Amino acid sequence: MVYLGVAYGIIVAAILGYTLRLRLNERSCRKQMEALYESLSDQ
Amino acid sequence: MDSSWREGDTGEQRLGATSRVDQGLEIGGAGKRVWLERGLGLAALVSFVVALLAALLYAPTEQTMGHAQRIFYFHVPSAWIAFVAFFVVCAASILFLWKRERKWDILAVSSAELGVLFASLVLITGPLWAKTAWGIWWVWDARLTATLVLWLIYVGYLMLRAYVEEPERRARLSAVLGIVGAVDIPFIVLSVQWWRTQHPSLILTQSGGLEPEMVQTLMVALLSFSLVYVYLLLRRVRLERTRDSLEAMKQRLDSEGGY
Repeated sequence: MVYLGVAYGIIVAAILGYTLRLRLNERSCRKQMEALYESLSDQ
Repeated sequence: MDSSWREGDTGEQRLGATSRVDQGLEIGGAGKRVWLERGLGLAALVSFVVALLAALLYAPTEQTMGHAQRIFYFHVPSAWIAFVAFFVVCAASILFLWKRERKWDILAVSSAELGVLFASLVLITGPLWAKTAWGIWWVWDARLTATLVLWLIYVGYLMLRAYVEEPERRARLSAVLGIVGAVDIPFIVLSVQWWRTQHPSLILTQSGGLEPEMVQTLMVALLSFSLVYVYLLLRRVRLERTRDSLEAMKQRLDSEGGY
């Protein structure tokens, strides 16, 4: 039962963690693009 | 933050630039793509919860191994998706070398990352199952060793991409490795027939000794993992395209001396 819990816990954590990583990376990229867009607009 | 900034937009869209970094991918369909992604994400989440409940509550407890056998319902789909992901890397890499279009390189790297994720899950859940079934964590039999080699090859693929800075060279070298690495997949699949291995072979057409409820649970888990893979692949591809757009904007600002 312990091994089952560990296995399922790792699977769920890995998939959720990867999804979160994608979201955070994309948000970071979008913020950088927003900042660049603002600086382009100012020119 | 500008409220008009929709999920799925690229910087070039906002700038109204004429050049397209994301060659061959429909910019106008960004809204549809976002809705498709959200629908897929919801379907993946629901099916994953159903698979989890089925594995824990619906599937009967195996007599010899007890509850630890339920690891099987997520170990097998992880392996299946890892193979599919690496096959996609191989196909996309061939198309990249043939057509030299960035979109195939994006697909290859996105699928490779997911392949490594799911192959890691295979290599973690496998020993947890083996400890109960065999009494040991690991044996150096053909299937296990070949799976570890496959994982190492694609970890190497991601490392190669991280260390080669010149984009064209990076794409070309990693495409070659992506194709060569996939040669290991049929070797893994057929290893249980070619050699005497400790790893059990699962033959669903003969039910493989599984109860019908076990087969149904496995099928739900396979569907769920397939949906999770497609959803994450779409998101990963979009992230790569956003990075491309960001890079293009930076270069444009650099060339104009404004950044």
